[in-house]
Amino acid sequence: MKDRVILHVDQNSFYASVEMLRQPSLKTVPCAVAGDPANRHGIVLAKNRLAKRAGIKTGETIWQAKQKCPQLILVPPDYRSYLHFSRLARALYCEYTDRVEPFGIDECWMDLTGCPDHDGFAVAEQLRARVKEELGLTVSVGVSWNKIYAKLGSDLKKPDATTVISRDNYPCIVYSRPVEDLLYVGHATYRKLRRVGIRTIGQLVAAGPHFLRTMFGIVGLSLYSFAAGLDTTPVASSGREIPVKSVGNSITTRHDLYTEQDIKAVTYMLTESVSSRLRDAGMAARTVQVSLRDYQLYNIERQAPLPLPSQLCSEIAPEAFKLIMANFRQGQWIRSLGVRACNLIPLSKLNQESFLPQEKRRQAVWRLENTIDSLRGRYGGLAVRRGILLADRSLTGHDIKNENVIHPIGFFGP
Amino acid sequence: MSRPVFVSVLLEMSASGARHPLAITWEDGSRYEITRSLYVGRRAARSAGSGECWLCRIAGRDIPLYYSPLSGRWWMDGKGDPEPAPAAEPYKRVKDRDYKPAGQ
Ligand SMILES: [Mg+2]
Repeated sequence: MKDRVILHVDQNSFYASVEMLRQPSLKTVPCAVAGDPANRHGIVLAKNRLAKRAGIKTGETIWQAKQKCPQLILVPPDYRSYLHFSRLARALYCEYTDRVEPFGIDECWMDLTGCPDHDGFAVAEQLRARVKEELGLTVSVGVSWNKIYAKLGSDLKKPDATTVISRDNYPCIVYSRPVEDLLYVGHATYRKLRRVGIRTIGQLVAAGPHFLRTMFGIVGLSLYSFAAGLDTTPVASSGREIPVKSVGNSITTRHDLYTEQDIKAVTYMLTESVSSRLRDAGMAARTVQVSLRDYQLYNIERQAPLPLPSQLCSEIAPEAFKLIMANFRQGQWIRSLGVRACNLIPLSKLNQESFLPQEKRRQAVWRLENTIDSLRGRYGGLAVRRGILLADRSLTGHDIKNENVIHPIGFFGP
Repeated sequence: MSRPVFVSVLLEMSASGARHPLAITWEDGSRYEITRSLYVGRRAARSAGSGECWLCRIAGRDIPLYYSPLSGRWWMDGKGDPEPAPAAEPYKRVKDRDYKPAGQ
């Protein structure tokens, strides 16, 4: 079979680039897009080249960044503009193929196999020129025969560059790269690999599928096929919606959380938006997952099955709260909390009719939550709130559902 | 150097949905007739931003006119320096509530 032609297109320092496009003088100063400092979303989301040179890293707090670089200019994020330019770029990619799969707001895979323009390098160069001329932004493009190598290629040279990883050059380009450059090699996998002395992608391939299988189970086989360029995962068609795998929300609160009451309020607020999005998608969750990060940025993630598949806040939130409290150490300060509903099934697959009394009650709650959804749809997300959320408005005065942006779905995640 | 100059535009909307700019008013109030315009699709402006672009013939020269559906504004590339970058503000730490660990 002939090789596929796959591109991965990555918009370079996307948020910062959009800000510099609007205000070109920002190119001459170190500048970062960061959440509102007063609202404690105080994390660097993107930075320009001068800020990078000053050592600013994405994900660090404004406070750390300002210490490294006091003259750093901070710009608040404007998600409406970012979505606008993200859509325009995607529309441009769709002129070349119907198989365009977004990965986050600023990245896409494209499959050009069988398209009139199927010369990967030529299309990549054309895209680069067109995005610059038509949108005023830059992209870096990776070209290969599989999604993993294409993504790796787009990371190798930036900004505004094309990298081709072909059957002829892949051993010398890919194998020497550190293993964490491989998509889906997260922190835990990376540490495990280091422990057995695997540092490069070449060493990962050399370890072989059998060894990786005994070490990681089924995931080990996927890792091997990703590293060796054997991955055959298709690029999803742009015409059809990517099925929702999980629905989650997280928040960095205005002040650290250390009382049960605060944690409960935030958990309910997050779960309300999660359950409302589940109802929008017509899905029910079988598992709930929580994530906490404390002030030392120590992260934990835990999940638990739900007693019944559910899309109700009143059923998911208590489970999420229980899970959080089971993992919360007294005296810990929580900086960020997340609630995620996973292991989803379409509501249509659930047997809805039941005459059990508790099922009748569930139906009533379901109608109640739906009514609240429609009130919020009409009068805004803060129109109806739980009493528990009014204890400290600085924590919970957020309309999470409408502030939500789409993030990439983790592959090995739920 | 170039800076964006936001202009008012007299626009004709045709029955087919096409838009034809007929005249613009510059920031100093002077008005210019557009004798011919050509829609060229999306373009990054030399001054700042990007948007839908028309090449407009004004006094015999073809000058790009941009429109951003995001801001709803029209602009042209003007002469002069762009607006300078804002000055950096010192970081003020938001005061946390007093730390009272539970059970103490
Ligand atoms: Mg990017």
